Amino acid sequence: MIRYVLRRVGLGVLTLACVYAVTFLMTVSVPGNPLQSSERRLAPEIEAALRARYDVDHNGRYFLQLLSGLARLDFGPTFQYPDWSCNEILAQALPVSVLLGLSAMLTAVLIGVPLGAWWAVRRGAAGAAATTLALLGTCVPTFITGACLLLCFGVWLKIAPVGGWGTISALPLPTITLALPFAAYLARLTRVGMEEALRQDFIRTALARGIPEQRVLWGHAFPVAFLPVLSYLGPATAQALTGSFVVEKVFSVPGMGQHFVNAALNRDVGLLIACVTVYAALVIAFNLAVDLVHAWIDPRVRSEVGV
Amino acid sequence: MLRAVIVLLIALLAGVYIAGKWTSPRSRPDLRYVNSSDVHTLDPARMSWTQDLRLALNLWETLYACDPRTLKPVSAAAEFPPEISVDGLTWTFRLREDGRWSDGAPVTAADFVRGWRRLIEPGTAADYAYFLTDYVDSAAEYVSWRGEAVGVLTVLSRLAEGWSIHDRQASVLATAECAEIVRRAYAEATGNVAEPEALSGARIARAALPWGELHRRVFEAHAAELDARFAQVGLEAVDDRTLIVRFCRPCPFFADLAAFPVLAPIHSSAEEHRERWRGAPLTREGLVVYDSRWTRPVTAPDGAVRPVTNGPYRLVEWRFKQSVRLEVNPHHRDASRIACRSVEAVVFADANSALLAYEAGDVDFIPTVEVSYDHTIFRLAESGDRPDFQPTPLAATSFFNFNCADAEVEGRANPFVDVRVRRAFSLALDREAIARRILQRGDRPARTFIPPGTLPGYDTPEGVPFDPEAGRRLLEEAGYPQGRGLPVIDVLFNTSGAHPVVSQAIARQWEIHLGARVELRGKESKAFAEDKARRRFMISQANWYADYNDPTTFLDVLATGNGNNDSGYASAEFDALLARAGTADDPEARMRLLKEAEATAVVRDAAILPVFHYTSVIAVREGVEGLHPNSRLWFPFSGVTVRR
Repeated sequence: MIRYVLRRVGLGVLTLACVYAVTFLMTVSVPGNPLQSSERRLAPEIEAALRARYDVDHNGRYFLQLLSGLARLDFGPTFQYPDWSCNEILAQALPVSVLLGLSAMLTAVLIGVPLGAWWAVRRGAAGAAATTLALLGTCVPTFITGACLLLCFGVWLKIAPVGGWGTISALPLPTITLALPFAAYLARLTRVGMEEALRQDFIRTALARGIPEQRVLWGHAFPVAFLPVLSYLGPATAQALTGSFVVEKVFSVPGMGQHFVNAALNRDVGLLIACVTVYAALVIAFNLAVDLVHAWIDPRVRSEVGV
Repeated sequence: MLRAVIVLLIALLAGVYIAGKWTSPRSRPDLRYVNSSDVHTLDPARMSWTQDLRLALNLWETLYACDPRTLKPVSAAAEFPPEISVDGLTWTFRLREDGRWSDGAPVTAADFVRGWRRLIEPGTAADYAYFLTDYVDSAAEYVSWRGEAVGVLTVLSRLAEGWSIHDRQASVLATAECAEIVRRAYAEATGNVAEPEALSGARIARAALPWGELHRRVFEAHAAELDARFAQVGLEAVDDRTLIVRFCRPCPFFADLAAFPVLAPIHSSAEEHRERWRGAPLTREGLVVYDSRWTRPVTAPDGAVRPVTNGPYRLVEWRFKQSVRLEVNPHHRDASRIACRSVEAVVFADANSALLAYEAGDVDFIPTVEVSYDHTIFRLAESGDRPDFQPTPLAATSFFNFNCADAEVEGRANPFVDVRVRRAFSLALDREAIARRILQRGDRPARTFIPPGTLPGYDTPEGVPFDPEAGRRLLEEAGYPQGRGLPVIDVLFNTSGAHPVVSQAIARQWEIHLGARVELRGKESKAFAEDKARRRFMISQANWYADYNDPTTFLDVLATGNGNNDSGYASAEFDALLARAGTADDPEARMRLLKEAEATAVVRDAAILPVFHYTSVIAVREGVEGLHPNSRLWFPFSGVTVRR
């Protein structure tokens, strides 16, 4: 077990190193001057001095400089926001995204999983409701959902602030918006898993043995149906935690997603690498966590992990 | 299984709880306004974005202030008007006695010199350094001396650390300033007298010299000379309340510049944040660099609140990408008279959400309403249905640059080196149709570069008319009858905002009126800027916003060799007119010369293709008084009153 975890952590670090190298190569090879922040042009000698100051005059040096910073968990300065370092930006944005992401994932699980299971078992009106929600959640883009929610609850009913952050009342609207697509996907996954499980022989056997239907459904079929959902939860949570550009923009939430997009647009190498690294680290960590939970639940996986 | 789900849920709940170090709702400020994206910096010397400058002009008090109604300079930290010598080259500013920093200390002339010195230091990389380097005596020399030294020190510090350097970088080692030191070191290390060619470029960089020692010597020599060199610059704090500025050429509009926040004074406490190396307040590379955090609001252990500012407000909170909060500076002379005690600038990255927040009453003021349905907003404003939406003509122009310089662009012959072709394309543009029928948001068609009526005392020349017939004749003269023989015209534009629509409309008009075939090339901002800087275009879209109240804020852009002259236009006649205006004593004669210069470059030589002058709609909630719409969107908050 410990050996398994150590191996996975080792692999994770290796993956992170690759992600870092690829991101670095991509950002320095795109056209665009990171030091240019406005329409006006910098004088050549000033630009040269700044390039030297930030090490962008020498890619090899810059690569090592960033890498050594990475090892110390110091992501260095940003080009676009001279008053802030990457670490300070992450320190402000990451908790916001984590809070929003976790509450959205929680909402998504609470809505999606029971709905999916219900959908698999019952047909008729329940099925229709579940289908509608799953379709809406998948098809309607978040900027539409977000704007509709803002208009209804913020402008007309005035029971929630129109965007912003820092009060508990600001949380529900972006949470629901972010949760809907995840909930829809979770519902579909659970339903497929559940239907699959219900066709299995051991379910028929259990029913034949006279075990009450509810117990067969929730005690026997659901655990099997939940496994694919669990696998999906890892990367999905990582994705939700690192923020969504669209939801953040619509609701003016100061999270990570906007930095991702803006850093790429601004060629802000340091900030971009910081964002990508955090995201990659979260994906790796959550995948590992999910695999461990998987092993704990599923005896077949457990033998592989070596518990 | 069930326990797994329960554990998972508990873990998630705990996560939500732990992550949510939830702050309690704060008191509502007197005025809350929308910042479309977060401020880039609150360091006044480094600013160039309107939203940053808007905060700065409330946080810092410059020598003069810009009256928001007339945009004319009025007394602020100094008494207006200044005392000007007969030749116009020496200005004496008398600071007011009651100027106070937010820690209660008096504002002194030395604080201004400190702030202005930061502006021109290479490490600051200020967009507006030219405010001083173009006019103040010896400022340009100081900056180039510093720039050269920084180049040398950068190379030496790289070599000292054992890094290789480019040949281009190595060539700075042969500059007069450090050649002597390097030559001596070379002789000591190799036993040979250095031949001139040995000292040039890459060869010297490969020599095994004691680079660390050399770097130290050059650094120390430079640091020792620093203040003596700066003393030659025409900025002098004679006493606490007298600031003398000596100019190298007349700058009749310097009172306007002195009202611009980049020329703010800096409190001595900021000096604590200067990076030091070997005891000198410079970095290894010789740059003057402040720890970026000096602008961040903090309360020091001794109770001092930083940053110390001298404007009507002080900075109390800055949450990145969220909000900036200002409160009245208790030591400001007007502190007791300011009705609007606290101001909050909140970030709304999405313009639609910003407008929704305004409609819901969460914010009081939007400095520019920029939504995709802006034509509807303008219609509502114009019809009087929404008196809180105020259309405001700006001192800003959207135009296109013709590539006047390169005979060939990306392998294609560039017809725009011929002035007749440029004029033909300018004449064949129906600007009225673009402004009124396509944009429909109140922008004014632009026949000149400078928006008429926005600069006091300046009479705009007769602009470019819409005359496709004349355009076709000119094109025929240039050897392209009915557009035959013209290469495919390459138009580069930035894909943000209305630029794509405008570019398409322009292309269509040229196809109809001139028979030209146009290829549109839209790029996102950074890639666009790169192509523009390398002049990889025949025609490229551009914007210019007035920085101060003088025609030169626009016309200098077209001067030969100006860093922002993207068209590559070079006309001795135009330059001569600007130079004559620069030395003209009579203000009216000066304006006449500038008018002639604009007519020369824009109408006769068609260096650029003006398209429209921006109009912006500002939204001010009923009950908020004192936010006067003006062509520079200049909003001091100290005169604002708010009724709820």
